[in-house]
Amino acid sequence: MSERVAITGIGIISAIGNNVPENLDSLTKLKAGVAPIQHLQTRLKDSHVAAEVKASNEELIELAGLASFDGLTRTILLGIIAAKEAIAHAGLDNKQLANTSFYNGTTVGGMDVSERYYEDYINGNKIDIVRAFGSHDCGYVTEKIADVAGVKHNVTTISTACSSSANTIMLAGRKIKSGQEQCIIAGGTDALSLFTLNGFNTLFILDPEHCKPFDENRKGLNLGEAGAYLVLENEEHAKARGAKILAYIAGYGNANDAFHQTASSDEGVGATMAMKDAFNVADVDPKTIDYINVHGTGTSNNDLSEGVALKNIFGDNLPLFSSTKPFTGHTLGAAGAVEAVFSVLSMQHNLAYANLNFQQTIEGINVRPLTENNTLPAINSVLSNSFGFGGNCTSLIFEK
Amino acid sequence: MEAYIISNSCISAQDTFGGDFFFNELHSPESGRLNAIEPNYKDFIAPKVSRRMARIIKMSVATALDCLQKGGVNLPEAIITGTGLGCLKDTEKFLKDAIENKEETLSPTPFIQSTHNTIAGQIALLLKCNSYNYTYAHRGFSFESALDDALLHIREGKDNILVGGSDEFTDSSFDIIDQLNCYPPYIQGEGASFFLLSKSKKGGNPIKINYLQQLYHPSEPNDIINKAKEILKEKGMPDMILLGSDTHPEKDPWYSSVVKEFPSSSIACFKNLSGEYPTASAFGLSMAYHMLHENKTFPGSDVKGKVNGNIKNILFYNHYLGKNHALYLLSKEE
Repeated sequence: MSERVAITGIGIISAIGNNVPENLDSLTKLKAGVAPIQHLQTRLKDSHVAAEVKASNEELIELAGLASFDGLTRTILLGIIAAKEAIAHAGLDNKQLANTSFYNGTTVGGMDVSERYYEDYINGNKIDIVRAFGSHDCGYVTEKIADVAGVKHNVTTISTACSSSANTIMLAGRKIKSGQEQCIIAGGTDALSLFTLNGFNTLFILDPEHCKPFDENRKGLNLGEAGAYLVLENEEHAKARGAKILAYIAGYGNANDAFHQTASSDEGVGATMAMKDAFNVADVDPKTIDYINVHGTGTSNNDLSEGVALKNIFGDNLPLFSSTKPFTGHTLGAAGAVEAVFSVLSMQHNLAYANLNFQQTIEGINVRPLTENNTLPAINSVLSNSFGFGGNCTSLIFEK
Repeated sequence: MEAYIISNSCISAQDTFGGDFFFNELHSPESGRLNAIEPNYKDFIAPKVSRRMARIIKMSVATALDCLQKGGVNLPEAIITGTGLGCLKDTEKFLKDAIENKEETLSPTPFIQSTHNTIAGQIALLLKCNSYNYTYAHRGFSFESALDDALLHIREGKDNILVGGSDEFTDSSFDIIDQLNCYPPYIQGEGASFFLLSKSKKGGNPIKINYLQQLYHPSEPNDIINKAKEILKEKGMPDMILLGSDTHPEKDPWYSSVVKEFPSSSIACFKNLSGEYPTASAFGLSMAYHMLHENKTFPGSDVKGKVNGNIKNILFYNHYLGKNHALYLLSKEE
């Protein structure tokens, strides 16, 4: 049996759209999703922008085709909506779903609900404990999405901060290549929460205005929220059921920077290793890459470190690259999957995206992202980077 | 998919750390919970480093480093951890500060240490280890997913994989889980267990993991029985079945059906020793490893029958909340 890992379905809900066509439309028209905070109740809403999904929980319940918020969280709703779209896109029926596995990435699980009840809990007020904390843990989030979507085979959750969903895609690639799994839905979901917004704020790495990845005067990141999934299949399995193959996962690599719990090394050690490993697995030369969707958060530290790592790999022949985080914000556990979906769309439409808000090259490293959308004769291969706290670095290579 | 367990280290509610795991005195629950017996960490972590660490990080780092030392490996080729609930103490501290201080003047330290992968990240940082670094956070599959990933790495040709499972409770998590009432008949516990896995036999008496099978949400106990029979078809009946129950498996329909199905098997248990938590199966695997390795059983773990002579193989079955089930087959290579 073939060992190629095919992508046969994609689904996404983010600040720039509730489904794949809406996301593509916003990318094409350079419409950013970063805006004043509407839905999250936080003191920071007067001072900071964020990339919220443009829907209330009630509207999300309807989009998910569900009746009530019971046992749900915003994180779960985003996951259900994106997973259902990916499943429908891949054309998996109930029988096939029973043999499909679900690998989910999330950083804080059901925190968006539990944080709202925690004050009452610590003050000793009477609360519905199941409603408050029964949906808190990451595994609950994954199982709820799997159960609603009808996915029945294996389930697991990866929580490696901002590389969580990139790591689910890597795991799915390895599992399918080994022959242990035939069909896996991989990706991630994270809703904006008071917890993470304040967390990043205390680290002084939030830009209160629109973020400017890879710009000399970048001030930090914008947080976002999203759910995004890919249906990954053994190529033969996909062909046997007549599924349309959108692209392939060609390579993947994970390495640890082992430098600092939250900061990346100046030499981009982990990032360089992750990219190298991905090229080794894909067995291709870096020269074959047509476009890079960088991690590019907009923090002083990340962009410098990633820039150095890119030069370590590509030297002076850096392909076209951009960060799409000025569109979607940094969607944490979902970010790797969001950008994997964008990578697939990039190859389908031969489109390399603009790195919004960029003006001036970072001093000392001569790397310049795309400033506008570029339609190329062909985009056959895309590299996508995702890095997280704990030194976690993951690179994925997609091929047409 | 097979691999050898080269070494193990475990911190639990029993006196399992520092010696050979075997404990003589049985520690009973206090105030309805089985608190981990924490060692003096200074042999493993510099005091100025450990002062900032929550208990789950300290327990995990100490067992991880101890395990590597026992296995004679400095740099593993992968670090893979599982934790059901992650770094609860720091998560709660940050949330409490944010609420009480109305989202102003917060310290970033508990936020930084709240992410689930702080454990694997800290181990990598202390070892200066750049290799593959993953964290699974999926209820009763947290440890099994980590172990499954480790086995896949071995199959892909890597060697010396460090894999572990850990969970901590806090006063409020204990209270919340108690109110959620999902653990009875088991009492709450906590702990950390790490293993060094190799593709080849090395050292004296390595224990082979012949089989690991996760079953998500089976509809009835028969699904477990059928899978167990399928696993045993090749290897024959095991010398012992280790269940994730306490000494009364009859109170739990999943475990009681296994007891009924294999009436002539010797049966042991461990939840009365470890307590219940998402990664309690990592304690169970530690126990199975040491029973095979040193050919001894534990006080307080006998349910039924005694193994006469050598314990050569163990079928280990655990479930969490009736949804996450795992079957392992382990054997001693003579």
